[in-house]
Amino acid sequence: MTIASYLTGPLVSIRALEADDAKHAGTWHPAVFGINAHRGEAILKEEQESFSRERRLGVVLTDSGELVGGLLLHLRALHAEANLTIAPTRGDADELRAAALQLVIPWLRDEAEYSTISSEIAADWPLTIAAAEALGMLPTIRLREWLARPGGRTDLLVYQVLNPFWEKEASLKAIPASQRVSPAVATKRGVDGGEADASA
Amino acid sequence: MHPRNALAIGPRVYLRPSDPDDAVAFARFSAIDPDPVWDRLRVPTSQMRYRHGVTDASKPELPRHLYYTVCLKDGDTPIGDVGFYDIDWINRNGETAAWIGDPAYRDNGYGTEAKFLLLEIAFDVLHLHVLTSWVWEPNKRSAAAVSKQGYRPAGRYPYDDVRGGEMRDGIVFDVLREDYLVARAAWEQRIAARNAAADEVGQQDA
Repeated sequence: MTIASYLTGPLVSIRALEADDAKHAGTWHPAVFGINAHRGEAILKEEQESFSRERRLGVVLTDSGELVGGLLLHLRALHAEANLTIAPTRGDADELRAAALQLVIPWLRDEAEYSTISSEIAADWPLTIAAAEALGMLPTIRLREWLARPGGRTDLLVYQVLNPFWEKEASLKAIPASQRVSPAVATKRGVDGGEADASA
Repeated sequence: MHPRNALAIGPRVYLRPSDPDDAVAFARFSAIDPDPVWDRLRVPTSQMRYRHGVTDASKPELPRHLYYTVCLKDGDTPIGDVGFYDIDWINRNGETAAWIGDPAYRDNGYGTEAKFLLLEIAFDVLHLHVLTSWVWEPNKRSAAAVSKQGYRPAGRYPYDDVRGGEMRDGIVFDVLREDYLVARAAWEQRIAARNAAADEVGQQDA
């Protein structure tokens, strides 16, 4: 499998998905029921043959080449959305996702020159949030209780970053403070409606 | 190496979705089974039958989008549509959309009435937990409407698109069942007050 050299990091790398990856569809496609090779093959075929603005790539461990996740890109004229999926059984999913984000955002912002790049990040993924903020991303949207978790729910945050040239040309600030949301508070509600800290 | 396509991993075994090629093993198991207690009888079963079962089970079943036509009760006339997009049946969330397509029925409360019916289906029939709505900043009518329907501002997509030479944002809202219930109760009170006032005027005229 060919890995894009410009998307190679110390922990993970990004590469195109190939037909054989259908056997590992559960790693690159977020489906809680699981996806077998038959369905994985159909999804790959549908995506390769479509002219949609979506593009799906694989996230692999740089050392071994093992496929551990997927990157779904939704590309518009000015805007790019990059959402990462990591295999559901990986205990280090947050770390892998954070490492992948560090490759993807500079690629889309500095090389592809998208004006805005956004990524959906669950409020209980601290390493991914830290990586996003280190990349200069800001949380601009918080969807309350968006994601189900064992025993409760957690919020979904949308982190975004503006291309520096865009800020300069438009003489606009990245995102006004009044429009930001706090990433620090992740609510988790139990079935009785009580609230608890997300880390509990 | 991680087990291939694993959904759950134990000390000795792991679970992955069955593949059509697993039919080879399943058919062999059915042919060599020494134990007649699984069902009424032991039956050797073909690879073809297992393959069909696995393939059939891998088809998507739940709809991703749902659309409802908004019709006038009087005459069954369609005036628009409402619906859900990108429903996530596990996380129980999705996006709502509403469109009163016939301009003659805009700004008369039909959209709000239809949206409350949609939210009733969402929260009380489909048991979704939270919904979102996206409104382009220039669309002030929609922003006002969803605010009246219980949606709360969740944030923005800055500089989403251009209008009048100026980049405008996309505004994102979300709504939980409790928000919807409060908004619907307020709407029903407004309707009741309006009807009462109309009745009073009618009595005075009479």
